[in-house]
Amino acid sequence: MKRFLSGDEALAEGVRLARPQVISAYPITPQTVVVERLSEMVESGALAAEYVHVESEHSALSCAMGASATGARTFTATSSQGLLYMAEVLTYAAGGRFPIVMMNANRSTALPWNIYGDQRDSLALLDHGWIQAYAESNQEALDLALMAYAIAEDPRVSTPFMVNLDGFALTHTYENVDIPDPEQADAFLPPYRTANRFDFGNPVNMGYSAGLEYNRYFKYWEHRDMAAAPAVIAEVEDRFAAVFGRRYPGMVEAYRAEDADVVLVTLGSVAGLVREVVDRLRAAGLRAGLVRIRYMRPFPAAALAGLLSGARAAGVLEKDVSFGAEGTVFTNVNSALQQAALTVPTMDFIGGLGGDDISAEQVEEAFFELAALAEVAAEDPRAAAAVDRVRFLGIEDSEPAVPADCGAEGGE
Amino acid sequence: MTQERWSEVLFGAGVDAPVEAPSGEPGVAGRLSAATPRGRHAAPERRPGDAADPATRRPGDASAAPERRPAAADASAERRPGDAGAPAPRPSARTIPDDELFFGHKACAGCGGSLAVRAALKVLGPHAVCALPAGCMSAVGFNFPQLCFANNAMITPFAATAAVLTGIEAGLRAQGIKPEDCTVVGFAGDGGTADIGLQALSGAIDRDDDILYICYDNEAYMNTGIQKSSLTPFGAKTTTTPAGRNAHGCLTQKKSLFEIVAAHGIPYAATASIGYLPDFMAKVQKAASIRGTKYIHVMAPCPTGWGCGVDEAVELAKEVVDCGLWYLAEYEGPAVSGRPGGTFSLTRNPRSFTSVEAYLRRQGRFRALTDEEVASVVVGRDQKWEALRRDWA
Repeated sequence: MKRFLSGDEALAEGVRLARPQVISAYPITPQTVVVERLSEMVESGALAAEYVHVESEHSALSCAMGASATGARTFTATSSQGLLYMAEVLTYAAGGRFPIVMMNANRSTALPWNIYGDQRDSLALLDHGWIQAYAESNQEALDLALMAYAIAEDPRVSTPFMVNLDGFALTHTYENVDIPDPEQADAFLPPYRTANRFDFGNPVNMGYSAGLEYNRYFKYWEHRDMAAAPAVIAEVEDRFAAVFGRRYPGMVEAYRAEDADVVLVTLGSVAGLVREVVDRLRAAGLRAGLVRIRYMRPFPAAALAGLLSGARAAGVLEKDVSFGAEGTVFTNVNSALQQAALTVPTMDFIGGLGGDDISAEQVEEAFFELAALAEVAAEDPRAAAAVDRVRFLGIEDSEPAVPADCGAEGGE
Repeated sequence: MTQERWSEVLFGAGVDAPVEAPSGEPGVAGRLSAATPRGRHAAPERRPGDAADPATRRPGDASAAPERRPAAADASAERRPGDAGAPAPRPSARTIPDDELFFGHKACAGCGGSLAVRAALKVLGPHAVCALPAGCMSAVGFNFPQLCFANNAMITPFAATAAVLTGIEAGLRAQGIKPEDCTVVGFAGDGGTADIGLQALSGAIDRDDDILYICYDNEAYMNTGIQKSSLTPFGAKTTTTPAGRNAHGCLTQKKSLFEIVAAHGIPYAATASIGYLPDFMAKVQKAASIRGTKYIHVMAPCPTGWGCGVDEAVELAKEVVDCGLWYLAEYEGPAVSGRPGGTFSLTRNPRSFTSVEAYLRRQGRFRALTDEEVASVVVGRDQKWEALRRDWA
C-alpha cells in the first residue's frame, strides 16, 4: 500500500511492522512525530506493545535495555542532545549485546542551539558500539526499521542498531512510501529469540563488570561481531528483496562511480542532490560519480577503497566536523584509502551544519575542486598535499562570516 | 556459533582463553535450580484498607520459605487462591529460608548494604529479578566470573536503576509474566537514589510501574571512597567534607527522601534499618504484595565509611533508630490506604530516646563535632520528632 508519509511517519510504520514488545518514548524535535504515531498505533490496537513514557532519554535507552534483558524486542527514538544525553547508556546496551533498535533524527548539537539537521550527533558517537545506518529516503527509513531488527538480533551480531534520518530533510519531508503488509513483514522478521536474557529456570547475571584479565575478550568480541555484520546485512538484504521486491546495495551504494575520475562520498539525504549533479556534470563531460555510505559502523573500508581505487580524486561531503581536525567521515574514508595503499588525493567538504542548505552549485563546485586537485596531483603529488583539503561550504576564505552587527546581543 | 559463545559467557562456562582460574566460585555454582515462576503472589490482591502493620501479612506469602524446597513447591503449586487463609508469619530468623541468593561477594567486613540485599532476597525468593546501578553492591557482586546473585540480576547505568526496572517489568509483562510472580527489585545506594538516580525514580513512581525500589543508605558514596551525598548527615566527615578548622564535616542536613517519594502518592513507601531486620523484611514482604511502585529506604551502616568496628554495623543501625536520628515509618498511598493523600504512620515511636551523643561519639566520622554541634543535632532530632508525632503518629 502506498501512502504519502514523512520520514518520521514512514519509520513509525516500519516499527509497527516489526512488532516491538516494549517502546520507551521521550520527545525531542525532530523525532517527536515517531513517538506520537507509535502511541496512536498502540492506542488503536494496531501495535501491541508496552508504551513507556520515560522521563528522559537516559531513561529511554535504560528502559529499552531492561526490557531487552527479558528477551523482549524493543524500540526507542531520539535526536541530537537527547542522543548525547543517553550516550552513556549506548555503551551499556552495546556491551550488554542488547539488539535494541533506535531511530535517531540527525540534528545539530548545541551551542548555538538549533533544531535543524546535521549529523554531528550520531557521528560523535561512532565509537559507542552501535551499528549506524543512514537513510537517504523515507522508503529506506521504513525498510531499515525492519532490516535493523533482523540484523541486530542475528546471533552472529547481537548488537544494537541506530537508524539515522536527516532531521527535517527526511523526518518532516513527505514522499510516497510503500507500506508492506503485516503478513509479509512477519514472514521477513520472525519473533526475537535469544539466549542473552533472564531465565527463570536457570537464572543469569547480566551486565557484570569484568576486570583487566577478562575485559579485552568482551571488547574484542564486540568488535569482531560488529565486523561480522556486513555478511549478515548482505543476507538480510537478499531476504528482504525476496520478500518485498526491493533490493538494497549493502554497506555502500555506488552511482556512476565505476569509471569516474572524481567521486564524491557522502551519506544521508544529500545523496539525492549529488546524484542529480553527477548526471548534470556527466552530460557536460566531467566523469563524476557518487558513493553513498549507508553504514558508518561497521565501516565498509574495503568496499569504499574498491569503489575509489580508480578515481583521480575523491571528496567527502558531510554535515559534521570534529573541531580542530576535520570531518569524521573524511577521517574514516582517508583511513580506508590508506589501508588499501591507495594514494587517491582527497578533499573534505563540510556543509549543511545546523540545517544549512547545500546547493547544487556548491556540489558542482566541489566536483570542480576535485577535478582541479586531480590535475595538480597528476603533475606533482607534493603540490596536491599542500592544498588546504578541508573546506567549509559557505565560508569564504578565512574571514568571519558573521557581520559585525549580528553579535550576541540581547534579543529584541 | 556466536550464540554458543554467549551462552558460555552468560551461563558461566568460561571465556575463550581464561588466563587462569579465577579465585572463588562463579556465581553459577550457587544458582538455584528454580522451576517456573511460582506464582507465590497469586493470592488475592491486597485490598485498600488492609492493615497497615507490615506484621499483618497478606495471605500466601507464608509459603515463601517452604516453597523453595521442592516438595513444598509442589504443594504450593496446588494451592488454590481460596486456600490462602492462614496469615503469613512475620519474616524472622525462624521463618526465612536458609537458601542464599546473594553470596560469594566481596563486600567489606560488616557491610550493612549486603545484609540488606541478602535479607530482602530471602523474602522475595529466587524469582526476584534484580537491577543494581554502579555502587557498592554491584561492585562487590558482579565481578565476572564471580557473579553473586543466584537469581536473575543485572547492572544498570548509575542514574538508571528505576528506568531499567521499568524496562524489565514491561518486558516481562509483554511476555505474559506477571510482576506478582517475580518481584522486579532494585538495590541502589543513597547517592544512586537521592542524587543521580532521583529523576528516574520519580519517573517510575509517576508511571506507577510495578517495581520495588530499595535504597540502602550508608550515608555517602562509599564505593568510590566515602564522598558526601545528599543523604550524608550533618557533621559527618567524608573525603569531600573533611573535618578541618573551618568545617567539621558535612554542613548540610540529610535530605528527607522518604517524604519526597511519598509526595508522589506512591502506593507504598517505608523506612527501615538493618538494626531492625524483621521489620525491614516484613516491609519487603508487604511491598511485594502491593501492585504499583514501592519504595523502601533502609539504613545500612558502613563500618569502612563510618569509622566503627566491623561488628558494630547492626548495633549502630539499631542505635540510630533508638536515638531518634532515623525513624521507622510507612506511607500508604491513596490506592492502598483508601484515603485521599494517603497515610503516614510510625512503625516505631519510642517513648524516650537513647543518647545522640553516644551514637555520634562512637563513630570516627563524627569525631570533630563540638559539644555545641552535637547539641544542635539533638535539637534537630527533637524538632523532627515533634513534626513526625504531630503528623504521623
